[in-house]
Amino acid sequence: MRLNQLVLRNFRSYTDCEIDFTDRVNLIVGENAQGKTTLLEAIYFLSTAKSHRTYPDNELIRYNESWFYLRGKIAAANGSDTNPEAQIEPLDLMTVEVSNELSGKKRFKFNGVLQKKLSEWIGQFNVVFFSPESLTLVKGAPADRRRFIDLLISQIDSVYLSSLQNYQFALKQRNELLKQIRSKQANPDFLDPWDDILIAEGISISQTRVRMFAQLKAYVQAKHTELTGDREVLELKYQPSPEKIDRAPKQEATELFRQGLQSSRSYDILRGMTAVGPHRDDFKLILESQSAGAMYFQEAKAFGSQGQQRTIALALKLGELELIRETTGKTPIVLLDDVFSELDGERSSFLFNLLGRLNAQTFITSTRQEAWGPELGDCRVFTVHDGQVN
Amino acid sequence: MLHYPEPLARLINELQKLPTIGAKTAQRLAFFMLKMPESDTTKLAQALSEVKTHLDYCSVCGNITDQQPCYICTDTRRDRQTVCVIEEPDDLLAIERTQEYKGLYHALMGVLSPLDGVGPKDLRIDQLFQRIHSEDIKEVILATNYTTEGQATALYLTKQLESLEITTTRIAYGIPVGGDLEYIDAVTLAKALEGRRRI
Repeated sequence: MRLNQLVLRNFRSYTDCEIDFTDRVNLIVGENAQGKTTLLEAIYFLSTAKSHRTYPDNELIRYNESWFYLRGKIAAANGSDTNPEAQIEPLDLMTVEVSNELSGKKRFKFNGVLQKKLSEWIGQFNVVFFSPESLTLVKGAPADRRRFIDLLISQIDSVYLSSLQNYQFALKQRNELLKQIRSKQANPDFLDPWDDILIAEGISISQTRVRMFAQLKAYVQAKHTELTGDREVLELKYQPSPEKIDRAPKQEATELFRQGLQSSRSYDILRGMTAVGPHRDDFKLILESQSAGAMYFQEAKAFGSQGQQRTIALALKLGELELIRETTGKTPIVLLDDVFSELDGERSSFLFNLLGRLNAQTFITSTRQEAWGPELGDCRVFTVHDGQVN
Repeated sequence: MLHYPEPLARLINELQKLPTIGAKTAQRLAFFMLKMPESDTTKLAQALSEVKTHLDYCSVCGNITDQQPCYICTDTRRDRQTVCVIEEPDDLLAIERTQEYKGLYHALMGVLSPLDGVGPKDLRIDQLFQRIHSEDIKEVILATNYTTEGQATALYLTKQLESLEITTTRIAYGIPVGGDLEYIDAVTLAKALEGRRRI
């Protein structure tokens, strides 16, 4: 995929701005607080209909204005991903538009046609975003890692998104019911239908996650090896809830889940929350390193250095890219926000090398221009100053 | 501040209580009614008051009716061994329009939703079981919506009906008649594939 042109109106610090990008590496250079990340945020918003910084959308509207508008001209470029020289067919060109008003009214247009459902929007145009916040993938709570997996799968599987929405809604209903049972306003038997829905949707969520995670793991490990020059080995371990559900066939998994819900029922009622299910899944990141002939296994969350954690987060994101490329046949756009600031010279050059080989349109922000390595190949530099781009 | 004469102000105020009617529309309707011949306004007023005095929910099935029980519940030509369970009385009209179904109905007047404080006791579920015990019912068709709550309600009823010697069925979902596969959303199509049948 290639983003050929981006238009921003009343989006954060931008009043009205139109930028044409190159197919390869776009370097966005500028001082702090000039609007570099905002450009990446706008591209991300066009792809996912939300901001990576998780503000309410209203806060993206320029100060004293009542709406914002974004438009991207995108080439799906089916042929050119594997063969960069191939001509882009006019049919592959698409326009995506998003507008948001102060009232909270959000509108999406795809090739000029208004889109009604979010699930039809997501997946049209894929991006992979690495930002300083991506470090939460390693350091953060299980919810951060689940969000990563969920957003990744939603981009390639629209049935998954619908299962997830049903599951989350049923979970909310069940938790409310648990509280009503605790205060003796409802009968514990009323939980049964909600359990049935949680099990039906949960098993499908769980199985999709496990299947996707296995694929993702291989890609992430390969990227991590490249980024560390083969010096560290990363192990990823999926931890499903209930336990062992990942190794069971569907029938058995259903039984496991049912038993899990049954046995935690009285505890759930006490706490007013559901303790078992895919909403409690997590994965562990373990670094294996060799020192003085001995192997060390350490959980990256607790023992990794800043640079190591950053490298792992980057490997997860680049693994995400390969997985989307593999399943959709289209290469997502890569957004790297302030990626080099905590990597040493060696790791930076490994990353330059990797990006040079990635064959994906890439956007990189930085405060310094001289930091760029020659390995990146063709690139166009954009200077951002006070909401203006040159 | 402009003041309307008291009767007109009262009319505007009452009209504003209706859905989709704002201050402006209420004012327009009120002025229009002022101009209407008195015979027409009397008919309107009569129709309004009769809707409340003459119409009620059917004590048996929950249908909107002007007689007790309703015309469907008293119709002896209908299949009295089959009951179709629906969420609201307006679902009954939708099913009646098909002219396919000849059985009886039972409106629950809602769906299970703990978040809205609706439990089994708040729905007409006890009445359904009383009917099953007192009438000669062989099949219960669960026709609640395919939403999470509609599905939970159907699952709850299925479990409650399990011990009884009747057939419980759920309406099918999937591809609409005349639907072109190409235009059907992925989720519906996936569910339709999942629920495929041998022919």
